Amino acid sequence: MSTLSNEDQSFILEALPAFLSEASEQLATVEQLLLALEESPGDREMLDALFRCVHTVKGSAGIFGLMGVVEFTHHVETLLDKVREGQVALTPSLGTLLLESADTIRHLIQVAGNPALDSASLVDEREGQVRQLQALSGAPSPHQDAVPNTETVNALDTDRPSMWNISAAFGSDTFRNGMDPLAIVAYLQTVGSLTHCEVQRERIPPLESLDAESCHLRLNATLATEAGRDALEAAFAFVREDSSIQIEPVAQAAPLANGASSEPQAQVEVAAATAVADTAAQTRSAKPRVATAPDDHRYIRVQADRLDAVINLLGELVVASAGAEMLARHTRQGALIEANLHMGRLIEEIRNGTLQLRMVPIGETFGRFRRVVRDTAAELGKEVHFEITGGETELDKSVVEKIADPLMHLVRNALDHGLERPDDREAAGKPAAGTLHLTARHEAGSIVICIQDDGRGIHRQKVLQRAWDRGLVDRAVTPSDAEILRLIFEPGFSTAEQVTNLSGRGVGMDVVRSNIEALRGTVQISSTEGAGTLVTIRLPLTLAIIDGFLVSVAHSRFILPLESVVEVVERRQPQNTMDSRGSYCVELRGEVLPVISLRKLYAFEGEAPERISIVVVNAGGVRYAIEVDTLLGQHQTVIKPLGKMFRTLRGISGSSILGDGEVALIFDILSLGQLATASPSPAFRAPAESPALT
Amino acid sequence: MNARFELPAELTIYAAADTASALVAWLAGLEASTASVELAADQVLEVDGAGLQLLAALHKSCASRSQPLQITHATETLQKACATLGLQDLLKPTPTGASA
Repeated sequence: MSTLSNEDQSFILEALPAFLSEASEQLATVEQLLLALEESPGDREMLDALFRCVHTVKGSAGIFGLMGVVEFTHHVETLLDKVREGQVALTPSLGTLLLESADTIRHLIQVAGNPALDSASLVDEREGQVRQLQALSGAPSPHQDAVPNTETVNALDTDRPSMWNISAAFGSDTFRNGMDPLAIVAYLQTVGSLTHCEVQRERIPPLESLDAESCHLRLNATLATEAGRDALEAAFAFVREDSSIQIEPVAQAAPLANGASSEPQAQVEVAAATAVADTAAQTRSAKPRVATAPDDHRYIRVQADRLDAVINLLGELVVASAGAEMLARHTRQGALIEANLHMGRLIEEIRNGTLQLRMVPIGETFGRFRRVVRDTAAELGKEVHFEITGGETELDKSVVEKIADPLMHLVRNALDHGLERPDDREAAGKPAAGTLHLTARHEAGSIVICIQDDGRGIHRQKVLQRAWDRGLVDRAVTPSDAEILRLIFEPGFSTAEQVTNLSGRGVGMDVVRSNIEALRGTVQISSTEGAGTLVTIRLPLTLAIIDGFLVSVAHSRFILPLESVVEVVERRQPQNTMDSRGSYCVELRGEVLPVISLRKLYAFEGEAPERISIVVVNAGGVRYAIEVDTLLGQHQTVIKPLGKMFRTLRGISGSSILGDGEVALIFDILSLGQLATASPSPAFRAPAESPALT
Repeated sequence: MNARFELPAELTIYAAADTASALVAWLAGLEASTASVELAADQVLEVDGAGLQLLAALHKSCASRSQPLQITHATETLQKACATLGLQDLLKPTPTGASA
């Protein structure tokens, strides 16, 4: 470092934050790969990806002169090389060591900038890890342990094998992707001498049934070369993703063939499995993402705050454009109105495009839980199958960031309180390993995240007892089942007495709920005793801007999220049969629809006009209608949060500034719906409580 | 009676679909009495994996209907490409009644 010029040093200082964020991403990938490898040990592609990640971290750390990181990572890399060469088996205990090593690398990177963070105990721990890593990379694999075979190990350690067997089953899109197996083989001829090459002719269909643009080529080749495995793999770098490539050293000595006798079979199975599992893997999104992430260079890194600045400006632009459009309308000049409308449409497109930029798949967050689940389950002595579905579902980055903690809490809760120990499960006639299923999907303009376990479920009587004990519910009242489950999210329900160090952390379920509600989301819980619990979280896709439907009552204006509006019906006379809170029912095409009158609910003064409109909305599967005076049409709505004073308002989720500077309140359709459909407020609730949990 | 098909200059993915359908039509139009089928390859200037796959598929079709096939006047490019993938036998005449 000392020999670096000032220019170099300033460059390095500038680039360091990028390195830090990249390294932490690489390490996250390492972690995910290690966890995925536990399920399919020996997956060559994942082992290679793993090696590449660690190699990249080491390489970039070297550039920045973080020698501590380089040194430690080198040991990990050496061991990983042995693992992918098949000389060391990736056992669960080795997986644990590697996971811990990844933590250590992360720690080393952190302390590189601030040595004060390092402590003696951590240094000792690190040294222990290095010893273990070295011992493992020096030692032969456990199979060979039983029958020590130094000859083989030495042969592999000192001389790279000069003969390689290559078998390649190219993916059917190989040609269409612009790749040519012929060119790859021609390249291999330049790397070494191809002693044998054979196309599996039986795999090629006869001309009549041939799709000439799909690739049916499968190759077996033998290559003599001094170049290492890396050089051979490089030849297949561009087709690796959808092809199955195997590169194995040719067994030259009899002892090796003996020692590795079980291996070729396993590899054949892996190859077959990858071909078959190709489509299956598409549905399990986490895995392909992990495999491709390190190679994916089609992204531009943008600082989050720059993007936020653009989004903020865009919000202002939307408001300004709405104002301009309104002024244009007042002038009654056709051309001006036209021009403004056109501009408004363009702004809407920019808005959609920009918000899209903030969308990130939730899979990365889900992926982080794998480690948590693994470690937590081990700590609790439980067995868990952790499944993730819909990891590719996208939502706003800020929502993803804010939902991670509540989700983590719910996942830990499911592990700790939901799933039983293996012997308890077996006694209950369930498989010893529990299942924890995390899913995400889009549904009507929001994202739905479910956490489902097949554990013991929630014991309603116990919950009720606790609620009685804590005075959350009057002892005289026995709430309905659903209401009992909601009590779990009440403040003061979970206490230190009940929580363990795992799910506790001083955060109760009420905090989970309020975190989710702060995102304009909702959380629901359903449970069957003995069969498991399902927690459903519903979140808006974005926090910033929505398509709104502007309506007015008296002189106030309100905004409904446009995606929840089903239809609008005009009616003559307001009903006289409404209750004190302004709800009544109408019949719409044979369906009885609850209607809520905003005029009555919010006690607006003045007479209702002769003709009113009712807006039919869909709130998470429940339809109801809202009675308003006038419809003002679609409106791009920049959401501003409500001040603290108004947080407790029922049915209102935020506010927005209209083009003329007036404020319009934005309805929270779900909680408004509860006002419309709920029975008179239940007696067991504290009066100051905000809208019921949904 | 003998039949002859001219392979295009470009025996690659770009022409593979067209060539394949032309070959299928041509094969279908052959009379049962056709003694041998000749594929003239003297025009072939470019070959890729898709082109070779096409020839191998044609080979298979001819073999399954016991139709003798010969690729004639193979250019150096084609010969080299076949050799690379170990498909030299595509260029040899198939004996009557051969099976793949």
